[in-house]
Amino acid sequence: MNKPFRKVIALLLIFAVSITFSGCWDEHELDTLFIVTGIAIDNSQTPDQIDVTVQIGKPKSKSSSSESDSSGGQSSSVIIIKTTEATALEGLKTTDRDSSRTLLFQHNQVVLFSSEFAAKGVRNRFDLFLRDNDMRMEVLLIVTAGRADQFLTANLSQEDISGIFIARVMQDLKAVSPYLQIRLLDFASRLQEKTSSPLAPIAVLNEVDGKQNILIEGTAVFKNDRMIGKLDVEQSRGYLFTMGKVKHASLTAQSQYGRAVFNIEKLDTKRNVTLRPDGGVKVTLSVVTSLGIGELRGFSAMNPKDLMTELKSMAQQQITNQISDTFAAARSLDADIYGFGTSVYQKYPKAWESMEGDWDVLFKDIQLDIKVNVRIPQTGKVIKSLEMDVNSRAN
Amino acid sequence: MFLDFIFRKLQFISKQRAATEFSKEISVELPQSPEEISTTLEENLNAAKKQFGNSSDFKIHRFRFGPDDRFSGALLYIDGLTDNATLTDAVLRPLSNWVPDEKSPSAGKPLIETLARTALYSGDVKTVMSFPELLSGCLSGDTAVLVDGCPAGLSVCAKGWEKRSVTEPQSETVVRGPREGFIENLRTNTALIRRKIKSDRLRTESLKVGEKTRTDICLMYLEGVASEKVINTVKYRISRLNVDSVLETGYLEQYIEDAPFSPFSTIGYTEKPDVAAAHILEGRVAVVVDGTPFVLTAPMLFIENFQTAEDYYTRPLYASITRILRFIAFIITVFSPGLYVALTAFHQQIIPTTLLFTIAAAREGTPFPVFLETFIMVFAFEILYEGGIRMPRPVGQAISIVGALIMGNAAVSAGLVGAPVVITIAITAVSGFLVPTLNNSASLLRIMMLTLGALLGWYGLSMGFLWMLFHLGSLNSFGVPYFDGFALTTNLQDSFVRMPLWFMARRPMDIAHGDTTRRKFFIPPLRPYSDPDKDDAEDTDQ
Repeated sequence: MNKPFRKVIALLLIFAVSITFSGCWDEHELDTLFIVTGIAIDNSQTPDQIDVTVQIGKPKSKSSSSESDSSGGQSSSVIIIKTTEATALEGLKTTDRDSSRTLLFQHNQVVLFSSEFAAKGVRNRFDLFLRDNDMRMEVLLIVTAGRADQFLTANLSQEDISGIFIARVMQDLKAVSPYLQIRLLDFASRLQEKTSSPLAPIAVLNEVDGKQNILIEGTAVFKNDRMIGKLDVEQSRGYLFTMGKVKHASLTAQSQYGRAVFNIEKLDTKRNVTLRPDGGVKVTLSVVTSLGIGELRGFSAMNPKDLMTELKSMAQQQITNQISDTFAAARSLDADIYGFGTSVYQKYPKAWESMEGDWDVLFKDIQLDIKVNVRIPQTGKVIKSLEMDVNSRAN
Repeated sequence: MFLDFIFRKLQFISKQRAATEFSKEISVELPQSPEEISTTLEENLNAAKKQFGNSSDFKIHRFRFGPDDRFSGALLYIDGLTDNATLTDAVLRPLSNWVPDEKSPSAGKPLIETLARTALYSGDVKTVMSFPELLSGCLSGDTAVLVDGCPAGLSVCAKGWEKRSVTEPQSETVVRGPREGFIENLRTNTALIRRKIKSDRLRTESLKVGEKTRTDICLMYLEGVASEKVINTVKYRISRLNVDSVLETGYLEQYIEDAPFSPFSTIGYTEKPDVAAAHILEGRVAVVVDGTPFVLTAPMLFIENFQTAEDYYTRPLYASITRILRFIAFIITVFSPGLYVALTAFHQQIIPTTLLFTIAAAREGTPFPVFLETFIMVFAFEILYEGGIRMPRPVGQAISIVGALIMGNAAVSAGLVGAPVVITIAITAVSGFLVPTLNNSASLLRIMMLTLGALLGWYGLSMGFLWMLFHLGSLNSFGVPYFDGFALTTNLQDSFVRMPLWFMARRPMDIAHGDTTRRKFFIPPLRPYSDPDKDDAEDTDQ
């Protein structure tokens, strides 16, 4: 064989090899994959080990589901694989080995940490989720009340796959406030900020009439990487008011005249951090909100003008109270959940160098000024409620 | 080692071939016709008979005419190409009634010229001196008149043969617009174009191509608008052809096109006179070939594949939207099978979770890898498509039933292919029909992209797309960049969107030369007031 031919053959081979070898190595047919929809991590019985539970959604073809329905057998729509290993990756590798197909992690919806596990510190268990190529940073992070694996095995009435159920619930909550939806990336970046406390929503599993349901109730507060406490539902709302960007939420206020439920159409908060002469920090929150009246009870014998003034002051009071309640809770937990430290650093980078060390003390000492500006442009479809109408006529 | 063996074997074969040296071309001695027309009629007729052999449709009609049947002559014609009634009225009757006066010559070339001038009732009579020219005139339908004693002949035009009437074109249908289409007759076709453009600037140049077929070809262009360079290039390329036959414009296209190995064609064709006229008005050259209802237009731009005649007859907004739709359809028809394979085999992460579960459910239990599954469906579609075209119309029904029922339904319910693949291929197929002129190219590209998508995933698809763009950018059609109309230079008035007609005040810059003005003003039409003078007065007042 002469030389030019050799060259041509070599080129062809190089071409063929570069095409076939570079492309096909990560090819996975869909029927060789298990689509992971949730990962739960719990403390194990044996110390220094963790239980890794993987939830795999089973694709249901329409014909097969109708067959199973007709036969009466109720086949589960998820596969649960549980392992106990020292690290999460080892656990997942063992799962991969035990399962008949390769695990596909890119569609993982949630990572669940049980609150006991979270209390022991998550930093050293976290690496895999940030490092691995297949793990998405947009995965939702949830802390569970009780063991996390039971959330994956839960038999829900609303969705077949609990991982997808949690993801949908969180998607709904995101419409209320972006701060409600904590993704792995948000959590990790909060961990990076030394003074800020990461947060994560808490999921609760309850059972009514044999039907299980998952609720998102409250927020877990982390200090460094350990869960140290939680905010209840009202406090969580106060946290949202502090952070701003709230939409489509509701606000209930009570006064001597009656009870009012508002729809928050928009709530924005501006944060202004200043240094006090005595070395402390002063934070001014200016909340601007526009509310709609959702429902009124009481307020009889009030003319509309007085009513509006009253409603405004009620809403103002309520928002202020909630914000300061939450702040009190954060102060008692000694956790800067708002990232005030970061705000100070951004505004006074020089002064921050000396403050960073004793931010814990400074945080407790923060003077919080809250200014709330309420507008009520919407009264709904009626101007007066029926109750008010009757009373005004009697007068 | 194996390759080495193959190469040794190939070398052996080529050596063997060289040694035996195929037999030389068999040449048969064919009768040579005389160059000149002889003075004696008999000699001429014998030569003609010899030339035509025993062809039964070659007719010789002898007759005598003049006082006392003094002169003898003969008509030579091909039966079926001439109109007998015209022949009788224009040639035979006037000749037999012809009475020479004393001045008229009695023999030789002057006699035949006198006959042509005074006796024959025909507008198209030529005096021909050379014998081959006379016979070739016969072949294209003229009738040769020979008179004893004259070393010249007459070529009388009395053409008349069966032809199809002008009907609606099959390949390009419109809802709004002229419904006439070209037919197989050259003269009718040029007349159809001439009737659209009643300008003395419209030039028609006739050529003959094909040693055996001697096909008449007509170049049509607007003098002063079409580029000289393009006209000369077309003429040069056609004149350099050394072929024995041209049966359709496709023959010509393949001989004169710029990029014979490209999946894209660089010469346009149309079946509609209005499209051809529009192209000529933009400065293109139309090549009308006898015997086919398709007319070539050159130079061609890539954008022409997405333009239809109706774009210009409907209002610009809707026309623009449909044109964008065609672009999207082309992208879909080329890329969607490849994309489907790439996504399901490589990039499951970018499929939305719910959709992934649906696709995974369909993949469950199908026996073949997704590439093979998709390839089988693409292949099956091509089979159906080809079958639908070639089948006689009554049988075509069966194709669609078999295609729809067996392929669409049974294959899915039997679990051979997944429903998402069927949907993908259906979308691919339907999208392909939006750009009919690109259908051939799209079929080739589709299989290429499918392979690239299966081998390299998204990376392969992007490489394929880039290659396609580079290739399109590198093509030229008769000196005009093929991808013109996409670059931000000229001609953007008629690319992704079709601008209003009043906006297109100039002809495409890269095609038209010289007289590039379509419309004097670059302004929208006047508001519809009844009295134009009053309008002007109002304007001046302000």
